[in-house]
Amino acid sequence: MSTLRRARHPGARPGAVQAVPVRHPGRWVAIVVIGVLVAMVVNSVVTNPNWDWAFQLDNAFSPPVLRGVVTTLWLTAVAMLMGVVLGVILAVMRLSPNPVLTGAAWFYIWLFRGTPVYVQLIIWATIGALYKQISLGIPFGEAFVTFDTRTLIPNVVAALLGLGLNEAAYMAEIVRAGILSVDEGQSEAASALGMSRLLTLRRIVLPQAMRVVVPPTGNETISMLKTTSLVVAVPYYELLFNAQAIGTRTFRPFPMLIMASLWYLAMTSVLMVGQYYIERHYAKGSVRTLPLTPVQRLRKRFTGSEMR
Amino acid sequence: MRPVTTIRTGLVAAVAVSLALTGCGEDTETTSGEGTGSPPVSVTADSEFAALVPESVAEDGVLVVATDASYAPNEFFDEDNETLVGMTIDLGMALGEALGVEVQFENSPFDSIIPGLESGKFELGMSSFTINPERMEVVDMVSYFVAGTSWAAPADNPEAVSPENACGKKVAVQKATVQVEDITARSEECLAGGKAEITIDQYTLQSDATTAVVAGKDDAMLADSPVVAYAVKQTGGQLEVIGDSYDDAPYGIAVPKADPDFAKAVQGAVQALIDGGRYTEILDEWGVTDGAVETADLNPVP
Repeated sequence: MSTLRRARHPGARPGAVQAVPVRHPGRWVAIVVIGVLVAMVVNSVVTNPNWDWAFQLDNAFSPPVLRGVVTTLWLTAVAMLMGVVLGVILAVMRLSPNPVLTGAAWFYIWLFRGTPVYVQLIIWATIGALYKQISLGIPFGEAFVTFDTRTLIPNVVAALLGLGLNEAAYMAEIVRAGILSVDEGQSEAASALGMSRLLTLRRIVLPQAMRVVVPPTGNETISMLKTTSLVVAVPYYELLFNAQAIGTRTFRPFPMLIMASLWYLAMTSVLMVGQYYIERHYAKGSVRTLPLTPVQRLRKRFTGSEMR
Repeated sequence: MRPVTTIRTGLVAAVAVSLALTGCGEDTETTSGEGTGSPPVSVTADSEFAALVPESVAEDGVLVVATDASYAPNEFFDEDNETLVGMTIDLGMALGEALGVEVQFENSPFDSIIPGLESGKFELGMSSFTINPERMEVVDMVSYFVAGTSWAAPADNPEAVSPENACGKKVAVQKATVQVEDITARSEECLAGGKAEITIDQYTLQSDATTAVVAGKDDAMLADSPVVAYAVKQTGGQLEVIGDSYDDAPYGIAVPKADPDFAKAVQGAVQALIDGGRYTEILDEWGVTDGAVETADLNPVP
């Protein structure tokens, strides 16, 4: 108030500024409250024997659990690969000027995004109840090769079809958003240079779309890692099933659920690191200087020198 | 839901176990309700057992019993998908009357029931538990029924599966049941004998396993004999029982070990139901008298 009053009298000289650092009493309260809560949680996690950490550690690297981890990882990888490849095709189809292609892609997305992935998994697993055999040949005519559905779609294939085809519907929308985010002038310039539609897509549009596509794709990958636990509906056995089987056999289900969760957390953490570097790679075209990697930031903090 | 090793007990010997379970529906009405038409034998609370019920249960007068309702005719959902019905449910209700408490059944995944008893979420477990040493380590078991394992395949058994000849076939089973150990051991035998292993499909629900065989996804399934017999009957000729049932062993009511008197109360009450005739009536209603026992034993030694 005093400074204000002084300002009204232009003749008066301002006195020495009494600089007092802004106080943050709220921060101290928050530190105490959260600190106590954290201490309580840590204490209960360490002292409550029901967490059974020794039992968790005994089983965390047992063959069935490791087999489950491997299955979860490769199911995620293959399902995401199917999703991305099919998703790009569907997105391009949806943006095509050809109304039949647009309609077909729209129908696919409507169907696969609109039904629960759990139901889709069960349907792929029991498709043999609908079609005993699947044949290749002339439509409505002669069949050249006939497969028994059950041998053509064993449990592992049913699991991948369920996860991958569902994912494609989501990826199609993500890729479509990416393509739409690329300025129209880019395609116009490309066609002015005489590039075909396909070449423009491959060389100009898709690389720029990646910047928008990568973050949600990382999101989808992490989501997929956890969605793989639904393949028990097929049934196919991944991390959660094998962990639960141990829990059931020993009547100690809770520690095994925690152990499985820790595995999932470990795997998502690794995926998040991967996502960071992929995002950085595709940021090349849009930022003048790339953001520092965590390693570079650490080095800068300790040496004080900028990276060369 | 049975152990791999054959369990022989006195009470098994005391019961003539007919294996022709498929025929059981022909002369008895087995659907539901008051099948026999005669008024049910009344059950009155027996103060001797009621006094043994732990305070925590007696206090609110409600006994929370967990069951996995995917196991017809023992425990399953009625047509409304809400009402629990079955031999186990009727026995549980009668047991509650004998103990002087109101029974409230709760549906729970099979593999969560025993952990739920340990944590105090449930007060009793009645879900066709085969009594085995592993289970008796964590809960008290009161025997009330005898069942074996039997197999079923699609009608005419197109893949010619049998318990002895399942190598290289696809077999459905409910997860966490004793039949999982049974079929796993058989698969290992196949490998040891230089044959192809058995593809074991473990389903969360027994009804899923049955559906998989009907759909032709799996070549056969194995489960408790009354369940298989009922599934064959209910699917109207789409399934058939293969071979005889084996590994007869008692079912037990799972009682938390926290209060040893509680198990004695349950044992006494079940024995009273057997002696009073209500037990036979219930088994008769569901067409499962083949598995009847004459004595209810607490933690029977295999």
